[in-house]
Amino acid sequence: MLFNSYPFILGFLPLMLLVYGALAESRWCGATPFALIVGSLLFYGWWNWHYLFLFLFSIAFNYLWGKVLAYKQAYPEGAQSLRRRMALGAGIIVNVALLGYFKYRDFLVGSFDGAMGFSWPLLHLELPLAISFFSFEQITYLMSCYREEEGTGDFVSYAMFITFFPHLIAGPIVRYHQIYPQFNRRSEFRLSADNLVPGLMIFAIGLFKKVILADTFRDSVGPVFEAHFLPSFPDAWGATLAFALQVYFDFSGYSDMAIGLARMFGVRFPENFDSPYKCTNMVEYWHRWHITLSYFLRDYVYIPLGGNRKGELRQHLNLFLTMLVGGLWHGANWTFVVWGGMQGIALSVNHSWRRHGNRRLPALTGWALTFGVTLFGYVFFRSATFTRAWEIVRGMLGANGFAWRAEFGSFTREKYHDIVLGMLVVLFCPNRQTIMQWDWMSDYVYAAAFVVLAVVSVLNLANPPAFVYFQF
Amino acid sequence: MARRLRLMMFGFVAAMAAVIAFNVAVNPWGAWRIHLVSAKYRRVNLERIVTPYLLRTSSPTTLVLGSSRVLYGIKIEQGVKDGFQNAAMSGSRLQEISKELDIALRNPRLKRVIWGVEFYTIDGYVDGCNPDTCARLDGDWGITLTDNIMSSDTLVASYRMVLRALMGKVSKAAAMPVPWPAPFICAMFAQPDPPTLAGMDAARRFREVSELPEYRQFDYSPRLFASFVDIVDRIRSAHLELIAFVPPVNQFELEMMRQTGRWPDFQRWKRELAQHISYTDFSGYNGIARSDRMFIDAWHMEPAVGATIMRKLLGDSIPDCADAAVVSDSGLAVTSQNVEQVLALQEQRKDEATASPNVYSTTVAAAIVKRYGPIAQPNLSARR
Repeated sequence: MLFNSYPFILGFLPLMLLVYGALAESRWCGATPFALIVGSLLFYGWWNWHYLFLFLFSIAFNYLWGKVLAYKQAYPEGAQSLRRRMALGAGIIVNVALLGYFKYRDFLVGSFDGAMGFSWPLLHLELPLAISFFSFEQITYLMSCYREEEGTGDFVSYAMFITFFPHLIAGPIVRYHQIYPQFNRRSEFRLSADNLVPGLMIFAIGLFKKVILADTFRDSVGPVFEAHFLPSFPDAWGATLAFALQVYFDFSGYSDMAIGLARMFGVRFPENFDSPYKCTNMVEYWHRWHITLSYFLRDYVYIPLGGNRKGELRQHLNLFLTMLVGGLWHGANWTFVVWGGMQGIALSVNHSWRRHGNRRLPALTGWALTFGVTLFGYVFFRSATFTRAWEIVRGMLGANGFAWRAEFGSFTREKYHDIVLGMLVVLFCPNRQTIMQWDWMSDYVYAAAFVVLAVVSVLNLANPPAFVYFQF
Repeated sequence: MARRLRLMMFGFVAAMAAVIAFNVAVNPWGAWRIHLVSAKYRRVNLERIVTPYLLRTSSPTTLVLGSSRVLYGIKIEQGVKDGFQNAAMSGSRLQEISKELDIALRNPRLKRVIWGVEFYTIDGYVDGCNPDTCARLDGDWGITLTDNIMSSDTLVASYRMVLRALMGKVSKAAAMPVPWPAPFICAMFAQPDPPTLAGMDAARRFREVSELPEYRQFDYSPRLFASFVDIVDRIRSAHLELIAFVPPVNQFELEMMRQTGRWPDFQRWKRELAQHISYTDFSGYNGIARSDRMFIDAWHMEPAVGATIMRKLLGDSIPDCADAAVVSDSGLAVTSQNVEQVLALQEQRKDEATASPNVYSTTVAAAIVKRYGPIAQPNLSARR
């Protein structure tokens, strides 16, 4: 079920809120978590119920493995013993293996076949919805168990944490210790105007970003990235800029919707975006773009690799490897690996400059470099093949000419008007977090803003396209 | 906070209710039998949305079926007028036409079907049905509700329809009776609405030609032809008169077929067609095909051409102007008895028209090279 669909907005969400509100205030309030779990599983199974069993298996396995990690008698050598670390590693490997089987098996087989001439069959498996997200979140749960954090071992809280529908499909990637206390804070975990008002507003802002802004740019991107003509300078830059705007509005819109939905149920999710295109260096960019993924990669890949504790050269290598993992997480294609590698190199250069550079770059130069690296990265992120990515890069460098072409799908001057408007919005408009802190003067103004955003978005919901990040 | 929440909810519900009430009352897609705003102010711009609904709520005596050539060529702006309904849809496929017919056959007043049959519909690659169109034709209530009451497209269409009604604004063509009067057709020929293929510069025309349908991958599907025959049988079983025709095809498109090796398939299709129906063939290397002013673009005939065709098919007098005569003379009546003679004539006309390079053959050759790379020699006997 998509957040930007009529069944969700007019059916599932109001129903869930009603059930939740009614149960939380009644003498059956103990049943509230179960209602949320059942509703969330229904939400997950709406897309393809076959993978519900895989999802349930994953939940059961990780819960039981968490119990294994918490069973102290099994580790007489202590909490940091090799045996316990191996148990943790085994649990993580099972999650990664499950993800790898469904997401990366064909990619690896195809790559080895090409290089070594094997002829192993490709399975063409359909990727279970949200497997990249729930696999990572289960790993954070195992880590919480390993660290003996508060609340581990409570099955209902754990099942709610994993299945809770606002973050289930495409994040933000939340951690058990962020969510568990909120589920058990009875004063917050109930339906109230204090939560519903900001929750609805955040959801409406996210919906508007997705339906009105992101989908406007979507139609300009595909024709260039998927066509067979050689893109000229305006085509290549136009399509890449349009994709940058599409993916930002799409994913930050989705994250806003998830944050807003959680808030309606009294749960606060961490922020996932903070105006990343305003950044003037790459380090800052990765602190403001897909923030929860960045922190996951930092805590579970970069730091275990040694982080910056083993010398400068090793830090650069760790950064590079971490971003390669980040690239691969986005998709089973070498283009994503290259994208991740580019991000790793850019981060390394940024760290080196900070360490050895004589002076700070002017803000405008820093912004241009950061945004430029981001755009060239997007070419590989969006292209299905290296051939097409290279054609677009050549187009951006002017090797395919500078003409405004007449082919179907080419970039017209009118499309550039939308891009200029979009860039003005991302560079100069306040972000959602700022808007939510405004003094709205009166309830009428606040309500009117909500009504405009919500009604315009809902009227444009017909045939909703899926979110870009659903494929991850 | 509670007051703010109440205002938000009330505002949202009130605004949505107002939009829904407005859309239902104006009924721009004709989904219900509500006529607060006269249907003469309706405009069928999104035919894949409107046509399935109009088929259910209208009771025409003549149903016009076909593709965008028929939609734009035999243009009935309101969709239904004077007992005629143009139910043609852009890129319509046989499965969609079959479903349209299912709905139309429930109309007891229906007497006649005029069908602009298309070669591309028996291409295996265009099998199937557009999911949204099929859902509408199947009467899916979910899409019916979202299309007609909660879509911004509907709101804009409602607003424009009301505006036209308030200003009493109906175009000259939309005010004319169907079939269109002969003097009006001659006036349309004399002053066609832009754009026309003839009025395009070389670059724009090349772009048009570059976007012509895919013929090199054409997959002649006997199964799809069988479903065509099934539709014909159902029309006959319902005791309806079937008037079939092959719409005019511009010489650019004919060259695209010929140079990609599909001309024999085109001829074969016409031969097999004649075994099942009598039809009037307006396609081929004839007077219309090389008259660029008779086309909106490289695919679609001008409304004046379609209006003349309509008169000819219905046995009405042909308008007294030279262009109408060209259209009328281009139509060849084909039956199972004379099909071989007609095809031989088409073959002869093709040979004459392609004996030496001309703007059509050279433009298409360049477009093919751009699309596929050089094709050494089209294999004229190729069968997939």
